[in-house]
Order: sequence, then C-alpha cells, then structure tokens
Amino acid sequence: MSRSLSESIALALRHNDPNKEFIIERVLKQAKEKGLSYVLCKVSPEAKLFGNMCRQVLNEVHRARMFIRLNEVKERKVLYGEFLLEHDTIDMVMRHYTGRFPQHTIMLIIRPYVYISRGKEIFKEEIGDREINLPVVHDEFKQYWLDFYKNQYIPERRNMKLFQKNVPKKYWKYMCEIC
Amino acid sequence: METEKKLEILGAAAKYDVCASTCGPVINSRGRDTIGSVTRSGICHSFTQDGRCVSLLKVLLTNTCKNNCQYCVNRRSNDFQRTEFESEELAHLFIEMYKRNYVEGLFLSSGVKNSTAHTMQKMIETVEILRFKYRYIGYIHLKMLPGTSEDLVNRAAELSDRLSINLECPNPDRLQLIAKEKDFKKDLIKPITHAQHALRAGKLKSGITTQFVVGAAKESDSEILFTSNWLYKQRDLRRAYFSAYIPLDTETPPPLIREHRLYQSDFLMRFYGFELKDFIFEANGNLNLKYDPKFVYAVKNRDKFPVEINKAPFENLLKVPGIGPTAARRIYRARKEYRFTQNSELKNLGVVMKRAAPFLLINGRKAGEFYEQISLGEHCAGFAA
Ligand code: SF4
Repeated sequence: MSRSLSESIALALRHNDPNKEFIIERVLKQAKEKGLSYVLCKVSPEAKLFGNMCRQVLNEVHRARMFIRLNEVKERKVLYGEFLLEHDTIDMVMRHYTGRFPQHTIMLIIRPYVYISRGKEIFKEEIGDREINLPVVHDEFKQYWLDFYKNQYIPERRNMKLFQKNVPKKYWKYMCEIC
Repeated sequence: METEKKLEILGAAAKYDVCASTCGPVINSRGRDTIGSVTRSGICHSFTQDGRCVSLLKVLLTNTCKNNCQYCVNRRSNDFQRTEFESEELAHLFIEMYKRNYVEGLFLSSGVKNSTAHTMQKMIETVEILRFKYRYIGYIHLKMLPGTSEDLVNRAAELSDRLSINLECPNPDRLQLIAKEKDFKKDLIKPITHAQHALRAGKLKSGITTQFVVGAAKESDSEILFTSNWLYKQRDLRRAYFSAYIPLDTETPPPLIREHRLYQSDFLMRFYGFELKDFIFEANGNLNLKYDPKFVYAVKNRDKFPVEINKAPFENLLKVPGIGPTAARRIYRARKEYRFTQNSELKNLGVVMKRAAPFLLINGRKAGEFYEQISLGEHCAGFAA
C-alpha cells in the first residue's frame, strides 16, 4: 500500500493482460474523482483488478527468485537455468541474480529467448525450442540437494493441498526435486 | 563417511527446527568482491509434501550429544548412527548449494559434543570460513547451544543474521520433566539475554527466535503464551515458533490444530495489538480448538461490537474477525477521503466479509447478523496463567 500510483502503474504495465491500458485508464479516472486512496486501497472492482495485476507481476519475480535452479559451468564462471515468465519481468529477475552472483555471468532461458548478463548489460537472443549446448558437468551437488529435499519431509504432517498451493504446477518442470 | 551420507543424516536430524525465515536488511554483492544477498521479503526455494517451506540448508554440525532430552532423536540414549561435518566440508557444501539456488541461507544447529564451548567454537569456525574464505554475505541462522557463554554469543552475533535457542518448554518445571540436564534459566534464558545485548548493540541484524515443542511436557497453551509474551516484552524476541510434538514411541501426539491456534494467538499479539489478557482459555489452560482465538474474543466481548467501519479507531478494526493488518490499514487510509457504504467495497480491499460482517456497521447499517446461537463450549474462562 505504500507504493505510489506511478510505481503501481509501472508494475501493471508489465502485466500480460491485453486490457491493462483500459484498466489503468479507469483507475486514473477514479483517482481523480474519488481520491488516490480510493484506488491504492482497492475499494472499487477496477482498483482491485489493478492491484491484483501489480501483485501478480511481483509474485512472478518472487517465484523466479525461488524456483529457478542454476547449473554452473565452472571454468567459464557461468550460472545458467531455465524458467517460465509470463509478464515483462526479466530485467527484475536478472537484477536479483546479478546482484547475488556478480562474479558470474548469468544466463536465463526464458523461451523463446535466452538472456545473458555481461557486466551491467543484458543481452537477448531468440532460440525458440532449440537446446543450448553447454558443457555437461557431473554435478554431485544436485544429488545432495535431491537427498536433502527428500529428507526434509515429515510424513506425519503430510499436506498435499498446501504443497500444491505453494508450488503452482506450471513451475514443477523447472524444479529438479519435484519434476 | 561420505559427505552425501552425512548430509542425509544431519539434514534429517535438523528438520524439526521450524524457523525458515530468511528476511533481513537488504544487502547484495553488486560492485563487491563477495557472493550472496539478503532480500527484505525472504525467499523459500521449495516446499515439501507437508507444505513446509525449504529455504535454508538446515543441518546439524553433529548429531552426537552428551545430553538426553526425552523428546529429541539425538539424545544420548538413542542408539543410532552418529556423525559430524568438518567445518570446511560443510562450508563448501553450502556454498555450492547456494550457487545452484537450492537454498537461501544456512541454518546451523548441533548436538552438544564434548562441551557447549567446543561445539559452539566449531559452529562459529564454519561460519567464519563462509564469511572470510568464501566471502559469503547472505543469510545465516546460528543456533546457540544450551549454556553458551557471552563471548561466544557475541562472536556468533557478529557473524550471523539470526540467533536462536529452543526453549522447548515454557518454564523450569515443565523442562525438568523432559530435559533433566538443562537448567531453564542458566542454560536457556541466559544465552537469550546475551543475544539481546548483542542485538541492542547493533550486532545482530535479524533478531532472536525460539521454539516450543507443543505437548511434550503436558504444558498448556496459556503457559506457552505467557512465556512467549514475556520474551517479546523483556528479551526483544523477534519470533516464537511452535512445533507439535511427534512422539518417539507409542504416545498419542497432540492435535496439530493446537499448534495452529498458538500461531494464530502469537500473530494476534505481534500484529493485532492483542494482550495476553485478551485470550480466552478453556479450563485446562488450552485455547478453543474449534474456533480461532480472535473469533472467540469477539464473541466473548460482544459489547465491543459491532464497530462502525467509517469511524472505529485503528486498534478496534484490528480486533474484528476477518480484518487483518493490511485491510485495516487500507480502511483507515481510504476513509480519510471516502465514506464506505457497501459490503462489496470492503470485500474488494481484502476484508473476509463472511467472517467480519456480523461484527460491522457500514455507515450505520448492520453488515450482517450477530451470532446469537454460538456455543464456545462449556469451559471457556478468562486467562488463567
Ligand atoms: S541438547 Fe539438544 S541435541 Fe542434545 S539431546 Fe537435548 S535437544 Fe537434543
């Protein structure tokens, strides 16, 4: 709620809803007639829709921080992974990873593109469905992770409904411990 | 023993520690010769089939322990395989898992091998390797072992984001029933006091937490909430966690809903302005299992309801079932420029109207009917601790 209207509009414009401009126009009109808080506090159905678009955009960025699994090409200091982004959020996602691993080149496959960080810049190349041939590294740490993940489960507390709510199915194929 | 096997044993042994938070002051490695970052909102990296989040590499340094706490798998008398990580081995393992984005940080606990000071030193050594050799600046949660000295707590605070120690029981009498070798004040409260000093000196970024095991010592909810409330007020505790006791033999476990009710009450104390005296306990000192504590409060205090949504003070809005802190803030802010007239407006901004309507007036009109018939059970009494 502490987000300003202009920050919210910038977020909503990243959403993939084809009607986003129409919704933004409606909330701007309401803000003029009923006050800024009316819109930012989501009092009307349109303001709620607008708020939901912002939330969905931020949720996508958050999930990309959570669920992308990276592989390392050690000799080239490259960390790469693949994920699904439905909104225009790649710059926010890349910023997270480059801020976390500045010594590495980050390479994210978000089909049909691959995005590569180099210093402060991000390059993009269309790859469609093509596989990218990177040196295959034998990675014992992946096996460690799979075992660790398996061992964290407490059978006495099984709750599949909660599990599915927390990890939407569309992301499963990117998560080695689940797919 | 191979690292893989050690991780299997020492990871599984740490899974009952609940704290999975990874939030803290924002920090990243951009423009620095370091690795890692901390985000404001915290990040879970996966979820297990019990719905719990996996965000930290939660491991024990060793599962060897000289103590014999009755509820713990690592207790001395339990006959099973013991092992231990070397500090460098664990630091390397962690950093490789972090780079692959499997985990958001390290959670390091341990059994007490030889002595508290010896084991705590080794835990600190592991964190030093991460901070200085691997130049890792991300999130670390370090457990304080029972009886950790002030010097070691200070060093641990300088190196990690969060410190914790599990009280497990709410008072000395209960602790004596299940962990005879531990002294509640000397071994558990004192390290928290040291950590509080470190926190106040600005050494600890993400605060101090603790955990209670619910139902292991036949304690009541009122005892647990009394102690957690004391810790919030007197020891600057950031958060208490509750974990329903999973019996190691044939005992009946406590109902999981009890743990849930404790979390609800804890949230009410931390974010909704509830005081201990506001909770209604049953004759046995436990919370009502059928209804949540906020609803019980509202039904028992019906003279305080309904509240007028356009006028009620912020703290009264927070007492209405179905209104959380976010919705209360939105109502408070929006009504400065606008007068609510419809149920649907409140629903849009996040009020759960099915729960809230009986307790609200909207512009002088009842938003819903009050529950005339509700029975909370025969034994509802006031706070009894
Ligand atoms: S001191 Fe800790 S590890 Fe050792 S038996 Fe007690 S609870 Fe378990």
